[in-house]
Amino acid sequence: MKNRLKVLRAERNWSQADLAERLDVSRQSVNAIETGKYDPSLPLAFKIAGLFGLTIEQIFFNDEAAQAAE
Amino acid sequence: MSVSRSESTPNGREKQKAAFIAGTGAGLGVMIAVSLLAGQLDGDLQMIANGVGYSAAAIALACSIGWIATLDEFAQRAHYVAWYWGGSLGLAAMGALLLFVLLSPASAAESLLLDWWGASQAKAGFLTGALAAMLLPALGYTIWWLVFWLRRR
Repeated sequence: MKNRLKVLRAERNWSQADLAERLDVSRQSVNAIETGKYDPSLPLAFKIAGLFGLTIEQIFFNDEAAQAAE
Repeated sequence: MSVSRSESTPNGREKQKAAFIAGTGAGLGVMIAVSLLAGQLDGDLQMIANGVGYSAAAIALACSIGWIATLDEFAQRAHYVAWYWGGSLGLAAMGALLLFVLLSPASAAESLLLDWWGASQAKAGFLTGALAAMLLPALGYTIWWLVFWLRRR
């Protein structure tokens, strides 16, 4: 699963550590989610979406959806 | 024992984590010390030491449950995945060891046990099996956990 987390974080000038603190997770967790090496749980996905004021679908999308958009 | 990540501050959580790790370590330390004393104490003293050892094991287990609750979901997943796959590989290694003992000439397995424990007896054989059953899955778990983190740094 892909996501726009890195872009959204960069728009707010947040470091991975800043975002991790806001989400109450470790910096390694943020890095793993951003690089697509770990898919967050539904509660964490809702927390991320709430933090950025977006819906989950606006942040996370699967590979097929990404290809279709291109 | 429940620890809420969302209700605790990062600083408070670090203190909680440190306390749980210290409790687990202390419990394991006492347990190992009691194990080393096994057979060297007399009657009632040995019974008391056994009780202390079992209590220390229970404390270590309770503290480790508290500690894992302080981890975020990614760190918890690392432990679960490592335990499942690494532990399974350790069990597979146990199977290979079992086949070796069963299929090799009796003298070969016995000489290994004699080298290890110095005496061929049922207790030595049981201890070897028990140690292998604990150590091999633990080794597999540790290796898998390290690989999990290295691949997702």
